[in-house]
Amino acid sequence: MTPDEFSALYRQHQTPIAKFLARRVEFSEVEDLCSEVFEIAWSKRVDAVAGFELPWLYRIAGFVVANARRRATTRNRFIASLTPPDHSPSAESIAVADIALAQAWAKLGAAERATLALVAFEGLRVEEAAAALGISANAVSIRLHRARTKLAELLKD
Amino acid sequence: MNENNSHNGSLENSANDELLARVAAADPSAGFDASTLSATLVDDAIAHASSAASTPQSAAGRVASQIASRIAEAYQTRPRFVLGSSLSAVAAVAAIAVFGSMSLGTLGGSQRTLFTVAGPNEGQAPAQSDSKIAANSIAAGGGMAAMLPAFTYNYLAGSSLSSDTGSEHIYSLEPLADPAGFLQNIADYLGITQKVHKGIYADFTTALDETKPFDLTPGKPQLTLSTTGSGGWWLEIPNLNIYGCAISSDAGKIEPQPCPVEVASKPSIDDAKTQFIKLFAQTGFSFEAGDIQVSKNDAGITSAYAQANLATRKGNAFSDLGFSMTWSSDGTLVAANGLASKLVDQGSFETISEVDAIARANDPKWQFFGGYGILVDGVAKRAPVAGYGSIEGGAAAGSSSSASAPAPIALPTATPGPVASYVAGDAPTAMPIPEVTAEPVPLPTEGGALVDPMPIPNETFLLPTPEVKDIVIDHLELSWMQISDAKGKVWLVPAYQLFSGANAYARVPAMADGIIGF
Repeated sequence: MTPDEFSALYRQHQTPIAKFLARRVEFSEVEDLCSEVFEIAWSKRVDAVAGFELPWLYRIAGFVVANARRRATTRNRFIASLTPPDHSPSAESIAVADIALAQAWAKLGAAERATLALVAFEGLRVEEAAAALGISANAVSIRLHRARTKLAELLKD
Repeated sequence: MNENNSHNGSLENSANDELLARVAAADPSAGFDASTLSATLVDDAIAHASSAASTPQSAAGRVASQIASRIAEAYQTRPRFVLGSSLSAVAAVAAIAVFGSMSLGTLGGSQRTLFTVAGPNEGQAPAQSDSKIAANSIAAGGGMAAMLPAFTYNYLAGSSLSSDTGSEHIYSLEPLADPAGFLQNIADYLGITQKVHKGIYADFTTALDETKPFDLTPGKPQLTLSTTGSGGWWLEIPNLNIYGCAISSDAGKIEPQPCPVEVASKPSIDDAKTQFIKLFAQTGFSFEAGDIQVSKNDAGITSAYAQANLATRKGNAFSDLGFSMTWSSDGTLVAANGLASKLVDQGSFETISEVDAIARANDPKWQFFGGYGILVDGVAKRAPVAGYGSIEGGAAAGSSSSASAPAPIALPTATPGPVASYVAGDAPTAMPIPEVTAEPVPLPTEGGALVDPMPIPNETFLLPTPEVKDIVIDHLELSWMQISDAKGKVWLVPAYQLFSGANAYARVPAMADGIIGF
């Protein structure tokens, strides 16, 4: 794939990737991280699966967000190793629009937030979310069901 | 009943749609204007990536980068790392440690490097873990502090520990030659009539849009095989009795009610073990009844679990390869999982002594592997590796008709759905995990002195620094640990489990320096 071909194919995904990032990092960081996503995508372009370029980009973007947060905050690895990764939107960012939802959102597990965010914000189907998260569609379906149920229960409280 | 379920389902779907809509309405990117981004962002990224690729880092640069990374890593992973008063002092200590380690590996030159693990910046545990902390500290605020351990450990070698080195086998987990046949064999044995079919993705397994495994609707067994990671298969059969026996349809709520069952009635412990042995024999693993742990909870759920032992090892040797079966309160098999990879013996390799293992457990470089495995009392014996190929010979004829074979699974006749899914392993085309690289974390300095990089937004978010506790390790047990290399391949390597009395602590790889590349 030539640079021109890559650009033609991936330029259309710039906005959804930017919004994905904007939901998870400061707006001021979006452009730099977006560039980083496409740099990595270019260098790993042979790994992309035709028709699933966007979920693949979301997966890369998830790593980029995780790395960006890591750069921003360091902790000792022993403590860190006890918790799973999280690149979902923070409760604070959601609180701007819906405080009750934000409070419930904060009580979800990291995996539940990540799955729910990809479906609700990015609008992905189960198979696409699975590709973005690097897990099976089965696991996404289960996580999504649990996340919805838990969130609904939390919102009742 | 079906109408009620359908009605409930539509109400539930409606509620779910409303919930998703509410989440979507809180989109944090609402104020973000993507049109402000550079129109040439993608082209610029390609140009930058191409430029970087055309100017490879020099060997000296790579060494310097590695040292810087190790310094940052050591600083991050050792909250009690003894720091000098200046950055240069820390760098000197770390550099000596790095080159010292390299020398040991070189001197032990008889040990070939079998595989290389992903670096701390290459995507997995450390980067993700830290990001989680960052997010948690933001999202959960002060609540995070309550979750943190109040202490960490400094391991000390007890007087009874040995200084003798040894040797143990290392195994790799390789894809099955015929995963479809493997899964079909299990399906045939369990009485699942639908044929195995390929999943949508090469390493993703089932498309579950049309089935809801946890929606309290009984039926629709799902038999799935994954070729990623260590490779595994699992069976899920949603069954009401694992949740409850009745469904309330008031206001669309689905609520399981307690089952009037005789707890611990079906299957019996002996029958559970027999079913366990027969099922996994179909997949090439042999277990003895004494190796299997069976437990029953108050709801009548029966679970059986065992770990595979390795043919070359006698005695207790935890393999990290778990096998399990679960039955609901009426004795119906509702879940099972096992290994779907081929164990390949890579030969014998030198292992470090118990005393050296203590030093390794205190070394941040080795803590990366995580030593917090769960131990079980029972350990099964694995069939000889050479016998593993027998699993491709087809279903076990007549096994399901024996007295202790699992009861045939009743499939729903009204709405037969896809049952067994299979993901091809012959020509995987799925997207690998991108090797996202990150810059080494720069050490923050202030006036030349090293400062704590931990941001403290306010007192609410302040995380406690764990207290260091000295733990005298009085004995170690050898086990096997799964480690993924930089390419995603899984290895089973000998590892020491540290004990102080009856308490288990860290677990560290036992191979001599140089066998694992960093």
